[in-house]
Amino acid sequence: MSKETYKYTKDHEWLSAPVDGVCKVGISDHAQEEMGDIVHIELPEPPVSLDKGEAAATIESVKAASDVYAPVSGELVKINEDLEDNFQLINESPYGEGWLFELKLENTSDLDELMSFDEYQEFLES
Amino acid sequence: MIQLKLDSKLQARIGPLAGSFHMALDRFVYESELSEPVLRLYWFERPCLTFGISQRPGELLADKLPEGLDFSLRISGGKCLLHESGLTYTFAWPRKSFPELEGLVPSYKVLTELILESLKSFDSKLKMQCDSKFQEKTNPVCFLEHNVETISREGAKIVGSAQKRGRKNCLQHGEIRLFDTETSLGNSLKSGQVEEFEEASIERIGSLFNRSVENCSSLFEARQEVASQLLKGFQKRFGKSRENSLESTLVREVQEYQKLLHIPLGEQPAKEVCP
Repeated sequence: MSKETYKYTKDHEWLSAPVDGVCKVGISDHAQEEMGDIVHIELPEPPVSLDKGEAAATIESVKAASDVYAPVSGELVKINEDLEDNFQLINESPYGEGWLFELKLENTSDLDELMSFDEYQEFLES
Repeated sequence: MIQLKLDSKLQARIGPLAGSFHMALDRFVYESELSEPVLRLYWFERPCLTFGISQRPGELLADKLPEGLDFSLRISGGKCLLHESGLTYTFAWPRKSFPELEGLVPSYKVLTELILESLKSFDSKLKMQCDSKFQEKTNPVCFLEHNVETISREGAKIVGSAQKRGRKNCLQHGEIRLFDTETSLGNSLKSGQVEEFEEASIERIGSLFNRSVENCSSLFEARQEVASQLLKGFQKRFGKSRENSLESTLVREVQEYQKLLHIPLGEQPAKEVCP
């Protein structure tokens, strides 16, 4: 898994390539940098069915609480329990250990609507 | 821009407002379909201690709490903050209409500069400040740190703000301290926190905005003066405002949110309160 293979949203979330229809979801380096030090994350108790664009989690940094949205429709099947004791993983390793939750996709074709890494970089520069 | 107000008839019908009503109204505004920015300038009927959404009030509050103090969660992040003799502002905006307010730090900067410019007519010593002295993350008190650019006077933090950011809208709210009245906040926190508060407060709360509003004959007048300047500042930046009162039919919806943000206090503080 590497960030170059991930899909991205305009809300700065990423999805890893699906394995058996399940993707990891996290926030991009750009998003974590903008938020600053993360002090808390509120994640739901899985399983939770989510529509595309529905608020799935809230990340709180030193001065703001920001919603994280389901990039595509699916079922949130697992959360990253390592974050419970170490929110800073999101700051330190946004594309790796700082993933937020796993999403079982409703339609894998939904990923086609998201941006590739290069497209996301262009989006950030635009 | 809309300046949202609670008209006196409505207030008379609702009765004295708990602090959680104001916080619930902020959430209501944040979750509304906004087509233009919304500004609220208000104060609390009785002192209210508000907590950031992820703070654990039960872990911070002392067993014996001062009487007459209200408690509420906010929808935003940040630390606990006493709304007592200050002026509170809320500014919410639809994200798509304000690309210049994209990003946490840039939006803080724009809004903080706007507020600073508005307040400078009262006190030329006010300035933007972001220092590392009080960046200790375990410090639960908002006014004892300057972790994002904020407004201070001779080292004392004057404005404490926090944001809630979503896809549709963003909201920033904060307290502008007009007088030095943090004592009851210290008394509300558990002993360890009080110590921390008192030690740091010696330097931080030495000089306050009250010097510049001392010519006002009452707290009410001081709040009105500051609110008037702030409104001018927001209007200059976001266009002329029109006043809107909260529709009475929406009060019930706000009160539903209020239930989620209110912090119930029994004999023992709640261990954890989640909205």
